[in-house]
Amino acid sequence: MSVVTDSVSYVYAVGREVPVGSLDDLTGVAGREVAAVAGSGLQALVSTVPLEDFSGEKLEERLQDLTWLAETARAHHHVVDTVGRAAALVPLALATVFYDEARVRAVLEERGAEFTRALDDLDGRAEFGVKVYLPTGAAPGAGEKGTAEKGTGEKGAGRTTGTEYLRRRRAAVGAAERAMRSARESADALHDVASEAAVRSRRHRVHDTALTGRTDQMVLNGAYLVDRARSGEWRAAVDRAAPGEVTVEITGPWIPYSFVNGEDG
Amino acid sequence: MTVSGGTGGSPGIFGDQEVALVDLLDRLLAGGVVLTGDLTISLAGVDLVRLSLRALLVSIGADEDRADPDRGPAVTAPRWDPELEAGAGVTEVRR
Repeated sequence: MSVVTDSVSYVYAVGREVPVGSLDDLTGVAGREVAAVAGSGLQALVSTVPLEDFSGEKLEERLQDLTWLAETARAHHHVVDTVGRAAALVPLALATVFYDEARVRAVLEERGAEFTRALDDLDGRAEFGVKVYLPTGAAPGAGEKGTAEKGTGEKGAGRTTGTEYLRRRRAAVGAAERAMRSARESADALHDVASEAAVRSRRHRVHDTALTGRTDQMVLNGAYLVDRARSGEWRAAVDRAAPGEVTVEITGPWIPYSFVNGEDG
Repeated sequence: MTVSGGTGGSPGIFGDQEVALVDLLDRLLAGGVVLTGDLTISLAGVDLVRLSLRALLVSIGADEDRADPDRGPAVTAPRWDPELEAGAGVTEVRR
């Protein structure tokens, strides 16, 4: 059927037993309201959005517009996170769009068994993130502007000669490499502990300093699927294992975005 | 030393919101069920990540001319901005 329309259906997630009232007053992407489309005993969370913003070409363009991307990602997350507190949900990737609600219903019918399996798997579980950074101060030579580090610029020495400068510089680079190697090993060890205490784990790519907006180098960006009832235990295990020479950041609980694709996730 | 992100996660870039955008994009672009939607067939997950990270980098570089909302082409080289340095709002617990 090729009815010409100017709006399409944006799908956030597929859930089970989504409480009827939980979608009231909820605002989704493009400022639109959120509705449940039912099929196969499941509900898809859907907003009707303007086609002009979500057509393939337009979308590609829009994804490079940070303002749009940030708004859309936050709106998507807001819907998933809010409804996910009250019902089991399988989140979809950002910007999954179908022609209309009939198509969404058809997808629920076609892939109902798959969604049900995923819901069974994720129900009662949450995702946590662990990020590990090597502090700039721990890696001499990494911070160009020398944030008042001792050792790199001893006052008493007066003016340093070129050779002296090079010698220090080389030593600093060597120390920085050792610190980085040791931080990576610490991160791997922490990842092992966090994984062991979790149901499943996965490593996202580490962020460049340009993305994090900090000078510390990220060495681990891990995601861990944890039984909600045992999240305190998991957290304690990670806290205990967190090495002193690196900075460890824990985020979550998240709706398990990183683990919707089963065992391989 | 462990830093708690609390319930919402830790603020990083654009730490004005409770969840850092980069953390969110990790999950929304590399995670989530990838269904072949009716309109997004050409965009595989990996491309999305690359596209978006480029968008992030470019706009960090262009951040200071962000005052005008209809932003022209952002051509400034990527760089990090100490103003955006994460940390505000994060509670650090030294061990």
